[in-house]
Amino acid sequence: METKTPLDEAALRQRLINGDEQALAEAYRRHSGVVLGLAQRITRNRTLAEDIAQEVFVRLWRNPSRFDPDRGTLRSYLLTQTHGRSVDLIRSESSRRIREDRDATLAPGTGISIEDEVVELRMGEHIRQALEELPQNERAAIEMAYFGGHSYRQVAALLGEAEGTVKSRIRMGMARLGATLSASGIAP
Amino acid sequence: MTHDEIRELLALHALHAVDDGEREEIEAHLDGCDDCRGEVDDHRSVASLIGAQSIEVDVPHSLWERVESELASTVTPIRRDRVSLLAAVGAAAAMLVLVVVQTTRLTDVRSELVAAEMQLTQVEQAIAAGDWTGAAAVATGVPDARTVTLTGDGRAIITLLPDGTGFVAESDLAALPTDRSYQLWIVQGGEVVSAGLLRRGATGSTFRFDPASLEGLVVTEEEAAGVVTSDGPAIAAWFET
Repeated sequence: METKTPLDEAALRQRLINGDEQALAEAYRRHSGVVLGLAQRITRNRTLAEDIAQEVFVRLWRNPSRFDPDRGTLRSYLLTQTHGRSVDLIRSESSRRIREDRDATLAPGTGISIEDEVVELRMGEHIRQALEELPQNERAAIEMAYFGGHSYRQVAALLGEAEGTVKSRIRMGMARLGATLSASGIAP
Repeated sequence: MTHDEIRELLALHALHAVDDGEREEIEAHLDGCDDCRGEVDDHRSVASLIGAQSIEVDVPHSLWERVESELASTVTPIRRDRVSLLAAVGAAAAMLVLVVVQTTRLTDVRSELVAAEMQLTQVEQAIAAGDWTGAAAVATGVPDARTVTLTGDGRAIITLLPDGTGFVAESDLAALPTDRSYQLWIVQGGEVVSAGLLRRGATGSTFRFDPASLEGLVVTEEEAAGVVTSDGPAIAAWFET
């Protein structure tokens, strides 16, 4: 869980803006493990994940002002960048082969089960509980979109559901998660 | 899409679960809708909590070495640092003061110093308020400062200060999707070198240039992280005549 205060991160951001490489090293020390982990989980490709992690931190160095501490934590910002880049890569035609290899190891019904991986990967109790409280169809739609890197239309096709149904499940599931985590004091 | 239709997609957008066309439309909407932007930020925070808590791996030392090597070879980042900009403007104002001392009678120096100080204060106030047009208007009062206009599919007005600091005072460059950025290039001494990426909206981006060899400025559209060399068309350009 993010423990740094907004003030810490505002100061870190300012040091990055000033061109302080030690500030980047500090951001890297704090967040590289989870950045690489997320990229690896989505791409299922270690080499690609390291490329993405490298790109995310270089982007932070080049454009530190894009991180706005008033809009969220640095970890949230970096993971949003990581997730977006990972999704772009696995959806791109140039990565079709990677996606095929990846899908072969993540056959529908066997992969991306948050519950299966939660314990061994030390998910925080509150977040685990919030996920467990979600209706199963909402949780499945969210995990297929978030960890699977699928658009809601792709999720709908994979599940054989209407697009509008999947859209609603993701929207409602995210709203429930937000409310639960907010009540726990760990989300805005 | 209407505001309400876009609101229905905000959670999905935060999960990168919308199509490219929808993403572009939503991003454009977010530029002008604080409520929706705040909602997306909240969804992203939730999404990152899920991602962050479920995975964290050991990072090989070689990865930091790769990041470091990239920093060494990267283009100079554009820094939107108010302090350094103020310092630059301050240096320019100091030049103004020097000119004043050399060309006026001693009895006039005090009033000129007061005027220069007021000018700097006005620049500081304009910058603090994010009024780059106002800052440009005051800064161009500094001797040898000038304003140039880059034209093409888009337009950008850039103020060039005599100490080699430039900043984008106005821009109407079209909004880009999140995976694209505008990159500024300096033509100097017969070479084209990157001045870095323009911030979103372009206005307020600062950069450094060599006043003695500046021949032109060019804006291109590139991938979000920028490129070392570009073969893309100029979106806007200005050349010394």
